[in-house]
Amino acid sequence: MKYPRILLFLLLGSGLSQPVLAHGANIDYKQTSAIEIRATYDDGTPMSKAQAVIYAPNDPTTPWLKGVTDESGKFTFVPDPNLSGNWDIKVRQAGHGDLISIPLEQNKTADSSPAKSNSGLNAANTMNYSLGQKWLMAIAIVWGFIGTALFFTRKQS
Amino acid sequence: MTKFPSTIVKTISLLSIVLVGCSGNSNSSTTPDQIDEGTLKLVVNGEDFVRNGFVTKDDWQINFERVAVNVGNVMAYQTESTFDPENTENTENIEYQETVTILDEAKTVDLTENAEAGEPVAVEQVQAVPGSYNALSWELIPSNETGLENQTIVMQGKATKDGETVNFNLGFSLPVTYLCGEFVGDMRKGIVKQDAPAEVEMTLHFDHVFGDAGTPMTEAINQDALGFQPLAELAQAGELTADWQTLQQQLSPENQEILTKAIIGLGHVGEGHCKAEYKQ
Repeated sequence: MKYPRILLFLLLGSGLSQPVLAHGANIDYKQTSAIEIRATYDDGTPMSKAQAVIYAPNDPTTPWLKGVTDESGKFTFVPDPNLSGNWDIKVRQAGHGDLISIPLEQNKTADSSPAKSNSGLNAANTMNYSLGQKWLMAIAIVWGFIGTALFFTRKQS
Repeated sequence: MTKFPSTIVKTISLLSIVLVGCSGNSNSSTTPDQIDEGTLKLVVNGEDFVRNGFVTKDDWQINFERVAVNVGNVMAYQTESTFDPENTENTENIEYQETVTILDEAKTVDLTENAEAGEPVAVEQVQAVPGSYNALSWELIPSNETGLENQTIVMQGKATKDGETVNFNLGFSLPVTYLCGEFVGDMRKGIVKQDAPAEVEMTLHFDHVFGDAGTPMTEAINQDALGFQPLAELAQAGELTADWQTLQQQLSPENQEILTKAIIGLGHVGEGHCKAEYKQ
């Protein structure tokens, strides 16, 4: 019995533009980081024309993109750079399938609020006192109470 | 030295205890034992082949009355990335973030249950830490139940072809441990949320044993399957009752090997592949 396998390739796709002026046509391009997968059976046979389903990290149960592999079992997509986490790719054909997870970090340009995140993290961390710190604070507070009590109970001269 | 009034001492002590207690609560929502758990259900699926019957690669119409499988030691795992069973030696080598035991004792499940509903059979339900359970391990275990002694799988039903009928009752004693990745099918499974239950599925592909007339004969599913004809030839007066020992004695060595591989290779997670380890 042969079983499916998904191989992974990361592509740095760069669209090189040439101006096309006739009849006012225009072509835009943008440089993207694409992911190419190649699905094969374990004997190397490509899973051609197989169903490919992509799940984004923010919703792992709803397909983000659906498509079909080419004759060589390849499928290419450009993930949303603003969504970091595991991108899951599922390929199925004739009752057999495989699934692969690709961890992608949010790119630095898209991550425009690290300071905000970090400050939130630091604020949370300040609440994580150790047991020794807690006892030290308690002793200091108790000593404050004792001092206050002594002040009010002192003999009037 | 001034002597404290006892009420002041008591008040100070009480306030101190309260303060220490309150400071300890600042982190309580993140302690692991206080995470709100979700629900994870285990189902076993014999697919429509078992529920509705099918035509084998050698044109026998098979209809099952009962397909009993004795499963146990079912565990689900959350692993950091894709779990590849072929790169994991055994269950002890699974590197996981979370795990949950769904079924620690053996349980016999009849895959023909829920045939009318056309759904897998629910086996067990447990509380589980939220997350994606993308790996599953389980075993086929010889049964202790009366009538199923030492059997891991029992198939009972009727096969018909060209006016000939064979009533079969086949028992298999092949203990197997399966290591599986994530379920592969129409939907995602195993993703537990606090407010949304999830399920993991053990899928048994009986077309691997008998082949499928609906699939081209050149496909591996038919090339590697035994079919039913070699079994039909063992029947006497339309009756075939055989345990694994009998089948090993009466089938040809070549068909024995084909049938052994097919039975061991039954375990899947949907369309996803499992690594099977036969425990002789």
